[in-house]
Amino acid sequence: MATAVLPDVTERLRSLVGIDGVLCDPSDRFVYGRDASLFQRAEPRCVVSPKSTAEVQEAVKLCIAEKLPMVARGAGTGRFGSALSDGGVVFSTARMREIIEVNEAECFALVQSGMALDQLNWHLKSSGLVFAPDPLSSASCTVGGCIAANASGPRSLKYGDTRANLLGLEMVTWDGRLVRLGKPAEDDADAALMPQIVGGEGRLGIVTRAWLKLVRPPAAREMQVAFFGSLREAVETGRAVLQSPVSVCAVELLDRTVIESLESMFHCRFPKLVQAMLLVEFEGTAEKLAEDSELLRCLSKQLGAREIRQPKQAGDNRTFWAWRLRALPALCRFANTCWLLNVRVPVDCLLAVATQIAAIAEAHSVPLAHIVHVGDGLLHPVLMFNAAVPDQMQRARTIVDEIDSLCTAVGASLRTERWPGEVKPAADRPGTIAVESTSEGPSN
Amino acid sequence: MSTTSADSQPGDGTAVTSGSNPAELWSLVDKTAFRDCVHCGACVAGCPTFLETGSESDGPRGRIQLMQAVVEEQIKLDGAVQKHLDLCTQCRACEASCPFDVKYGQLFWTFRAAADKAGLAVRRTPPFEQRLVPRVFSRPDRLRRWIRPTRFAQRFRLDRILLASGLWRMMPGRWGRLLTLLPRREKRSARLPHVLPAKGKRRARVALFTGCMADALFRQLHWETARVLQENGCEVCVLRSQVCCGALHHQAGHLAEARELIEQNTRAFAANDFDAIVTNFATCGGFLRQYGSFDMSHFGGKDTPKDLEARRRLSARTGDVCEFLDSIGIVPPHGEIPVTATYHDACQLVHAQHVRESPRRLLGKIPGLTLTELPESDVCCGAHGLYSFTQPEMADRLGQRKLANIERTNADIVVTSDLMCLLHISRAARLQKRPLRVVHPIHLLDLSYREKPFRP
Ligand SMILES: Cc1cc2nc3c(=O)[nH]c(=O)nc-3n(C[C@H](O)[C@H](O)[C@H](O)COP(=O)(O)OP(=O)(O)OC[C@H]3O[C@@H](n4cnc5c(N)ncnc54)[C@H](O)[C@@H]3O)c2cc1C
Repeated sequence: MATAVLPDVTERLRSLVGIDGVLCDPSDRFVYGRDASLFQRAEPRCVVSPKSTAEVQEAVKLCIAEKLPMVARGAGTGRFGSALSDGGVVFSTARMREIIEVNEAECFALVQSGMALDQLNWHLKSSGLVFAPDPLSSASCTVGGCIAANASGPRSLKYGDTRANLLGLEMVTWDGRLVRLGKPAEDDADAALMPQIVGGEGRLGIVTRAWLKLVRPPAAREMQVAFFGSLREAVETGRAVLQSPVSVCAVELLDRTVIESLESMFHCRFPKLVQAMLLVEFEGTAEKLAEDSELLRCLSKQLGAREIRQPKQAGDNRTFWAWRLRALPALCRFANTCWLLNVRVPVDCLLAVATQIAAIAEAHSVPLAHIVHVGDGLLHPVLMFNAAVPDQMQRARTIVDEIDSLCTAVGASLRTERWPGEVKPAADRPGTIAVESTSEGPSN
Repeated sequence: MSTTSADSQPGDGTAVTSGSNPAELWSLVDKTAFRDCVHCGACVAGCPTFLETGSESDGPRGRIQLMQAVVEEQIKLDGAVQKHLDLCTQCRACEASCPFDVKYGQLFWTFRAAADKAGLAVRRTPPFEQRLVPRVFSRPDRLRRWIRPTRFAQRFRLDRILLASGLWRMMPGRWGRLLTLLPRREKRSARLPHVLPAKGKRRARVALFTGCMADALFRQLHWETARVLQENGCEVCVLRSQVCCGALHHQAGHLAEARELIEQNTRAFAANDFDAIVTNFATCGGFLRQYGSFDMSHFGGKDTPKDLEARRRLSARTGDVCEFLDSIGIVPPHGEIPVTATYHDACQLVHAQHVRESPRRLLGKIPGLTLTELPESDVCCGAHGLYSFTQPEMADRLGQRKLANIERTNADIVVTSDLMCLLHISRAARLQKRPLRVVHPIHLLDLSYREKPFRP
């Protein structure tokens, strides 16, 4: 077997991280050859799960000596296949899930990088503090993965992305050095690395611990959902909300395709024949909420909302959120493949870009849905087709290519996974630290 | 780097290839269910075995990928794959957390049934599962007889000696485990009568499901359940024709026996003269609630639309006692129970039946009782069904994990709604020589209604 790791290396890795810490069965190599991306497949040589920074460093050094390429992996919820490696060693942080310190007075936490976001926030619950980044994958995705992807979520509009909530980190670089940046050490020599690490997809090394900023959100949050007869009205309302004094924390938009899918899946009783739905979440004291709610309602009405829903009873806010959370699952019921793209656009051209993307898909007769974070100008066009049909796959690729050109033309940026078959080459050669300048923070 | 090619792949040796036509072989498995899974990974962090081993092959997404790869003949169903699948506790946390509604349980069971049928499974059914489950567990009278030796040991305090000295480990087969698992013998109590009248104005008439092990080991709790229901205006009937729910048989792969039990219960509860079927142990409740989703042809039987309809009706009418009481609104209990308690979510209640808040709400109504939140309260403790016998090592690890979390709460007692969790967590504590009472919420409610003191 060509890709099987030589027994003595596995044994030596085992002597460093323990017997359970090295996985190299064919079944394990199969499972770790996939993540949440649609088309990326790989087969690593083996998987190493260290428990501490020291173990990470030892194992990295061994891999360098053996000239084995390395890649870091958190929960494998990434959509770009960037946690995969063909023939390399996958460093999993699944056994590094400890909270080392929570400092309520200074509002920070020190955690190991394999900590899952929801789990961290559960532990913080009693203190009233939270680690704010809220990617929709927060149930599983890890602190390390969020740093590497500079993950953001709907509420990043108010609280910022991972970068904005990170005080410092400790990492083992792929050339075997242990570095500490930011908060703990203020190590100037390496401080310049920070921007390359956050959002750098683990190219430089593996983050082992992180100092996270914690915030104390107001006690109450509420949502309002408005339905519009056109995408334009919805986007314009969204922008107006952003400029209003309402203390919003999220502004999300779902288009007609999503609305119809949700309706037929969950019978939400949406109004008929609407083109877009805008979900606005805001927070504050009870009086402020009441005030904002009224303001929002007037604003939406003025800008053409056909119908507005406000929470009437306990649980309504949760129902509203569920619509947003279930957007992609609902679409998946109606297509074999739902290819979600990330298009970051200046908020001003959001509407134009969204419309043109829809036109491109239409021209190739592939159904397309839009899920939009209006707040921070992040557009998710979702292509709905069947990847198993070569012709459909080909058309989808053409569409993505055209969207890419469009983005370049208007100053937007497209991020999606590579084409099938083009797997990320096993991480950077050990021993080099030069990093191609990373594209802007990927997120999603 | 040396250059000999590696042939030391665990599991390779035991591989069994499927010679026959794969389409036919896997016809039981619903392949569209594989397609429902988009591998988003939302399920990963809630899976107990993944949390313990940190290996994605021991998580739901990994298991689904492995099953799919086997069905599509991309990989072989070898010892290693089988081990990952067998390690699943069947807690169904993954189903509850799946945004895409993937029916993991269904997939898993149909896959296993197909593999068994084709003789592909390398797993040897241990004699414990093979013989004892169908013969003993389904019949409370037999179970009582069967555990007599351990009862005998308890009477003469032999169990304490064995436990304290660690000698139980030397006992043959699974007897040591069983001895350490069994609860203290409770006072002999009579069978419940056919009907227990409601106190005051009758608000509902319910059928109490008594089960097998539950009746053999925890009959006292059935009395308590009945009393609490009566207290809340429910007339309780105890049908004589009901039998074990069949959950353990199903788990052990004895599908024909399971089917018989399912059919008997469906007949027993077909009557219309009660409002609900109330269960007090989550394992039974969870399984009864699944009756309606089963396809009897997977169990080696036949299904008529009428049977299916009857099972659906049974499932729809079944509810956990806490959920039921919470839904009708309880008479406030008045007796004070001054303890700090923490609540462990039994998988078969929280994930299989989606009951999370009602037991907590009921406990909150007991004067004097303080409820503190348990970290990872809904992560499986490793008790489910026969798991602690078939996977003793992982069951113990999960038990220890639960215990460690309990310790973080400073609670005096643990409350949980399933008998397997009750036994398993108590055992874990006993082995650590930590005194810890694990009780059912109804036990506390009953004490409070009767103004009896609670002795931790
Ligand atoms: C359903 C779904 C919803 C999502 N929603 C969002 C969203 O709302 N917002 C958003 O931003 N993203 C979203 N994502 C994408 C993804 O969840 C995030 O990028 C997440 O941060 C990845 O975390 P992970 O732990 O799963 O990392 P992985 O997927 O395991 O890895 C992702 C990248 O991080 C690197 N990495 C992982 N751990 C480390 C480490 N310790 N040190 C260095 N590098 C590391 C890997 O090498 C890889 O390049 C979503 C994904 C899914 C499937």
